[in-house]
Order: sequence, then C-alpha cells, then structure tokens
Amino acid sequence: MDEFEPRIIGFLCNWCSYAGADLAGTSRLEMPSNLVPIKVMCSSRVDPEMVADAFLRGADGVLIAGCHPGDCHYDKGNYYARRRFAVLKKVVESLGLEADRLRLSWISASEGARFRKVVEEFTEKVRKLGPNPAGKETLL
Amino acid sequence: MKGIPLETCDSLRHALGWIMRKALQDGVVDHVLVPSRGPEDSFPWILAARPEPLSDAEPIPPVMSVQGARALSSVTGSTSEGAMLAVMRPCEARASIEVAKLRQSDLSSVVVLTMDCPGAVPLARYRDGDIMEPDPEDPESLRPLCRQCTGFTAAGDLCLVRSGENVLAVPLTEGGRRFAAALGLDGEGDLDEWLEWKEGLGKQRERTGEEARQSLKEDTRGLSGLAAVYSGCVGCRSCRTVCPVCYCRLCFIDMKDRRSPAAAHLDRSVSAGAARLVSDTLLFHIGRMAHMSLSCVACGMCEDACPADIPVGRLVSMVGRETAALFDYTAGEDPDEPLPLSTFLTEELHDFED
Ligand code: SF4
Ligand code: SF4
Ligand code: SF4
Ligand code: FES
Repeated sequence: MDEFEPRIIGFLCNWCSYAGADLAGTSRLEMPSNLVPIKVMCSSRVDPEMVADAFLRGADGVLIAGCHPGDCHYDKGNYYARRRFAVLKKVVESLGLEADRLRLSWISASEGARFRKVVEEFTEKVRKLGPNPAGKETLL
Repeated sequence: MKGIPLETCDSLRHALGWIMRKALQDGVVDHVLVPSRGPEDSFPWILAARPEPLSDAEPIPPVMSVQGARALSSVTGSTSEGAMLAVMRPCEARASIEVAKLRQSDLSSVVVLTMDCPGAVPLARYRDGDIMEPDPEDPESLRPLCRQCTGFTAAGDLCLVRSGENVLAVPLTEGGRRFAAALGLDGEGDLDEWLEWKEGLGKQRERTGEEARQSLKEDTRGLSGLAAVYSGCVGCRSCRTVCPVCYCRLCFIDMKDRRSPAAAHLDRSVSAGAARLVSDTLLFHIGRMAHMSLSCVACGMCEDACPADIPVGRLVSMVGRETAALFDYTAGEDPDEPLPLSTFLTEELHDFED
C-alpha cells in the first residue's frame, strides 16, 4: 500500500499567517507539501461550519492560523476566533470524534520559520492519526 | 426565601388564570400572551387584549405546541408600546432570555410569569391519544428531556409555586416584584415544602440526566455511531424551525453557495465507494451544535417536532452542557451576562492553541 500522505486544509489569515507562509516560501524553507492553504481575511472569518465541512469531507487535518493575540489586523478578530474554535473542538470531542485533527495556531507575517514548524508538526501528528475515517464513511 | 400567598386560589391553574385576568382588568398590562384551548385538542398561543378571550386560556397545556419563546419573540422583535404579561413554562422563559440576548426580542416591557412545571407529554403520544396529561410521578408520561429537566420551576420574573397545600407567588426579579405590587399582592408565606420538593426532584432529575447522557454518548460515539443516530433524518429541518434559539433567517446549510457541488458527491462516491444523498446531514447537525448549542435550554421542542424520532434535543443539549461549561455559562439564566461568543478574555483558552 502507498504510504499515507495526509491532506491538511489550512485557513490562513491574510495579514499574518498567509504572509508568514509566503515568507517561508520566498525564504525557500523546505517543508512538507501536505497543507492546502486557503486565504481568509481574518481568522474570525472562519465559521466553524467551514472547518466541520472540511473535516467531514475527509480532510485529515484542519488548521486555522491567524495573527498573535493582540495583533489582529481587525483588532479583536482572533480572540473571537479562539472562542469559536474552542466551541467547535468541544462539540467534536463530546461527540467522540477526533478533535486532534483540528488545530489553531498563531503565526505572524515575520514568522516564516514558525509557519514551517507548525506545518511539520501538524503533518506528523496527523500522519500518526492515519487517514480521516470521514473520507471513507458513506452515510454522512 | 419567602413567597406571597395567594389564599383564594386552590391550584396553580386557578392562580395563573386569576393573575392574567386581574392584570388586564386593572390595566397593569395591555396584553397577555398565553396558550389557549383550541379545536381538536390543540393549544395555540393567543395574545389577548381583553379579559374575555382568556376564558379559553390553558396556561399549563399537556403538550408544548409552540415554544413560548418563539411566540413571544414574534411580538417583541422591537420595543413594544404597551406592557405585556407572558405566561409560559420555565424552559420557555429561559429560551426567552436567550432570544433577547441574541437580540431577537426586547423584553423591557414584558413580565414573564412561570409556574412549577409538571412537564410535557411527547406530542406524538398525545396526538395518538396515548397520554393526555403529564403525570409528574410517572416519568414515562413525560418527554425525554422533561425527565431530565432540572429547571422545572423558578424561572422568569415571577413564578407561581405550590408549597404543601398553598399556592404562592415568588418574585424573582425587580420586574416581578413591581408587577406583584401593582396587582396589590402582598404578604409573606413559607416556602419550605416547595424548596424541599425542588431540591429532591432536582437531584433525581440530575441523576436521570447523567445516566441518559452517558448512554447517549455511547450510542453516538465516533463517526459511525453518529452517522447511525442521524441515519433516519429526513432533512426536514423541523428541529431548527421550531427551536426558539435558532433564529437565523438564512441558515448556513441553506446557502446556495455552500451546498456541496455535484462534483463533490461524485468524488466522494469514488473515494468512499458510495456517497449518501441528500448529503450534509451530519454537517447540518454538527454545524448547528457549533452555532447554537451554547444557547440550548433543553426544552425538547425540536425532538417533539422530529418526524424521524431522532433524539436531536438530547444530543444538542448534551453537547451544549459541555460547550457552555467552557465559559461557565448557563443558557437562559442571567439576562445581563453576555453570550459567550459575543465577548472574550485576552487571556483564556490557551489549551486550545498550539
Ligand atoms: S423541559 Fe419539560 S419539565 Fe422542564 S420546564 Fe420544559 S416542559 Fe417543564
Ligand atoms: S427534525 Fe428530525 S428529521 Fe427533520 S432535520 Fe431535524 S433531525 Fe432530521
Ligand atoms: S435545540 Fe432543541 S432542546 Fe435545545 S433549545 Fe432548541 S428546541 Fe430546545
Ligand atoms: S487579521 Fe489575522 S487574525 Fe484577524
């Protein structure tokens, strides 16, 4: 059997984390290519429903990344995002689903190296979890 | 704690009826919102402006026909001119608070009057003529969420309770006290027996709830368990329509742009071997929990409405207990406490960050 390559969806905020990813790229940092980035204007734009959708469609991991607390371009977006993320994670947990497939991280525009580290860590973690069973479940 | 004795009343129904009529007659309020006895054993809510229609009022109907908070928010979408008395069950009063906090109603000129709730009969059993009245002594006659309800009394602005043989009014807010005073109610009566009953039944219900949640958790565990529980869902969205706290005019699941495109189903059918259609059943239910489980008051209305007998309300409220615990929040309790998703602390929830 082929080795399992996780597919991770990353919601990256335009002002910090996407720019951090860009920096990692322009700095030619080597990193796993498992993350599919989706640019959002702010981490608070990520409705839990979008995360649940990616998860149920079989994404092996879902990352939300935004500016560090205090640095959100819209001032407070990431604080709200954190609450919503906590609620979603709790919902997933209390239904006995794999909450470890969801991750929230703060990555600034100047943290290309941190972006790489987050992607590496999360890819490894998800690799260990194995494929998301939602991808093979018929009756969703 | 003391109550105001209503000496001339020998039952809660009698006392509720008397207060409604007096409040209208004396001009203390301009309208009374209350369920009534309709044709074919139905219990539609009415908004009465004169005392006469109140002769049909049924303040404690055997079933929950429409969640009272929904009835109330339909007339209190904006600040109303006159004062209103809303007579409803405790879980409906709690939902009204959530709905006001969600800014879907304005309760500034509303007095919410509740009572010791006997519970409600499952709508389907009532329709079948199986059970016509809730029997508080027999949990089997009650809806599953009523069997585990711990908030069966002491809600709203004023609550009518039984303590031993006596009927008393217990004001719970400033508005409730003002309303009682305007009606000329006064005196002090003992609540010891009521308090004892409340605590005893509360404990028993808490235990029932613990067990029920435990077994529900086991049944739904994991993706396949969850898919199994919702496998009979017909996708009617009645659970959402009748839920008092689901107020969105356009629910995420109905947004045209986000409906899974045909290509996604074809892909899934290839990758999983087969794909369920219509799709997104679990997405609807999980998304709904992520959006509103914090405000679920465990009223059971959604379950009553579900044609497929899915324990929707038990699931949402089970999850809601856990999401609300993150913020030490109790839905429907404190009108002044902000909704958890409308506020934040700068230092919190670090366990959720990586
Ligand atoms: S959940 Fe049932 S017992 Fe509790 S207040 Fe509502 S109707 Fe009454
Ligand atoms: S009411 Fe029941 S059948 Fe209808 S959408 Fe809700 S869970 Fe599904
Ligand atoms: S989800 Fe169900 S139990 Fe909870 S508030 Fe809505 S109708 Fe009531
Ligand atoms: S703009 Fe980056 S988190 Fe809000």
